[in-house]
Amino acid sequence: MKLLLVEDDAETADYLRQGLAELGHSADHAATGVDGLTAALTSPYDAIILDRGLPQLDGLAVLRALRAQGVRTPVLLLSALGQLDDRVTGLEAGADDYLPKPFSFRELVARLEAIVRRGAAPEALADRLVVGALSLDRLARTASRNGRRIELLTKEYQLLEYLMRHAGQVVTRTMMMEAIWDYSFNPGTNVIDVHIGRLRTKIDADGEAPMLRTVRGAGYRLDAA
Amino acid sequence: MVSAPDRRRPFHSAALRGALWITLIALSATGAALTVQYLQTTRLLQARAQALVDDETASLIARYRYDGLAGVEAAIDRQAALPRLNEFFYLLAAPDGTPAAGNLLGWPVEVTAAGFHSFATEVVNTQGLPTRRWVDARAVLLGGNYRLLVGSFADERASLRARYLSALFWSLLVTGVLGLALGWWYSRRGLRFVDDVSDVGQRLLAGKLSERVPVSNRGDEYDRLATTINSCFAEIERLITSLRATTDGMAHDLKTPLTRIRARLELAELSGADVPAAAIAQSRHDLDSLLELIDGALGLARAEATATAGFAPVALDAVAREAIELYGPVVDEAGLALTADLAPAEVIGARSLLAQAVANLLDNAIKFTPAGGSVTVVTAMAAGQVMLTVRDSGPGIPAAEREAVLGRFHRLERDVAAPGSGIGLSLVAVAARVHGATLTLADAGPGLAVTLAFPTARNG
Repeated sequence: MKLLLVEDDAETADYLRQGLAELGHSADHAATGVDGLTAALTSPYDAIILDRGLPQLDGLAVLRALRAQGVRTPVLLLSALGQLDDRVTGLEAGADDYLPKPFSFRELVARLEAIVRRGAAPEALADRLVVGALSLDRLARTASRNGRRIELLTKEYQLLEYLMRHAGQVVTRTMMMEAIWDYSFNPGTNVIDVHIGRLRTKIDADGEAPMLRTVRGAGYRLDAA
Repeated sequence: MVSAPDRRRPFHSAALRGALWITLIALSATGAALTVQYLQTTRLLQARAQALVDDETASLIARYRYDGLAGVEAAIDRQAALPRLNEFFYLLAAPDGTPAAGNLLGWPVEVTAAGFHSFATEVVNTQGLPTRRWVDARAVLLGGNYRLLVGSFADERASLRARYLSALFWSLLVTGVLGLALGWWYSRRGLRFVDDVSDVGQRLLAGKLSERVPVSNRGDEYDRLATTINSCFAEIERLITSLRATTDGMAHDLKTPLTRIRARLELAELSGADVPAAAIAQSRHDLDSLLELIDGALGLARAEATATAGFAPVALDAVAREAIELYGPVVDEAGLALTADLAPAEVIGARSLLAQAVANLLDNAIKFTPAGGSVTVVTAMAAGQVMLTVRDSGPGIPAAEREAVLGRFHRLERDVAAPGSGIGLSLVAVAARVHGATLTLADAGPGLAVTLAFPTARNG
């Protein structure tokens, strides 16, 4: 992926570029809002990582200017303000996702991949989602693996749908918390792990290859097995 | 800290101003009352004197009609000879001004025309000494340009006037002195309260947070003001105490993982080798808990600042149902039985904060209840209140510690090893305060029952 990183803290920027480079992504760096806006308007990028607090022109202003110019590049907004209101403001301004600082690098990458994928193939909201042997019927709200019907509770269904839409990508606990439970706070303990555990026993029956994998220190990933 | 300049001067100017105003009011009232009384009395006396003079004149005119000038002269001589209480004086003057009859030596210069006159004039008494006296007199023009003057002395009015002036002087003097003295006393009495409050405020600013303004048992406006000021002071004390507890607790909870991380790094530096993978994993875990702690503290601060302006109706039962849905599998995993009795319960509030409070209560109940136990969630509307109760069959909290666990970063001795930052219940307490709800921790025998009682949504 070719990325644009607009971040005024040099150390954070270096660390992000290094990490992204190790994953095979190249990132251009702009330290001010004006530079960031110029770069975003002049070169094509797969995604933009945009800090909210920037000198000269703040992140929200850059984002609004970009969207006003019709630039649809996916934007991941970073901010030290993690409040629900800030999140809403950010998304309303045209961000595709919002990540409060401090974030883990894995969380950033997971969210970045999710928005780039969404940007590349705007969801046609197919009636049927298929990942390997697993298929989900969105009309009947049922799931099956190799023809074996999987009985799901409402939240389990939503969780599976979310994982299938992000198949092959790491999905973090926070992402699931926000997407399925709409909780903007950390509910503590291992709530998500327990839900995933239940879902896993239903998807991966005895003798079947495990599809729902734990990615240590990051979250979960659904693979085609 | 810059100390405020001491604006107190030895001279109590506000008290003096108060005293002067009170004196001025008293003086005007006294002066007005006396003057009105004086004017009324004078008018009455003058009317009576005029009536007497007119009466006497009328009888002389009647005499003139019957007996002519000679009759009048005779009548005047007769009347003047009579010793009377009401001393009249008479003068019948010829056209050239020569006295024809009467006890006046000449026509008074003050009387220039016919009619009633009231004036002061020099009168020579029996000892031949002239004195100035008030006179009421009526002049009448008789036939042949003869003039008749009948008058009497208005000594009563003169002495009333003198008395009025002296009464006015003494009354004003006494009123002035009393007004100043009482006004001063009264103003100082009111201002003593102001002094008290500013003294107490100064001491509070100097750090004595427990200082309070004295409240008397009169229940008057001063007491109301004192009570309000005291609640402000109490709130300041609460905030500062809770801030201290927070910073102390936070410093402790932050320093522990930081110390561990630093020790690991130093150890690795000493050994000269690369940082071992285990140390990295442990450090990341420590950092995660640090971040969690900071997030928790920030969340708490945000919750404290929740603006009631953004409040909207929230179905508490739905919030509870969502939380149960989220924690349901965790409850199963922990080997607990979860019962829910969710009657419709609507409150006015911030949904996200309420959701977090309910989640924290459930999380605590699950964390502290041993396997085989039970957790119950109840929402109900009763007696003008909306209740939410989370009950567990765990070890409960000793009565003496119930207050303390609501404070920040407080964990029971026995739970120090348990995961968590000790923020959970404080957030519930903050949510309760923001929503005007009462939070009760009670013994569920065995276990803990936490109840949030909200004022009902439809109370106004």
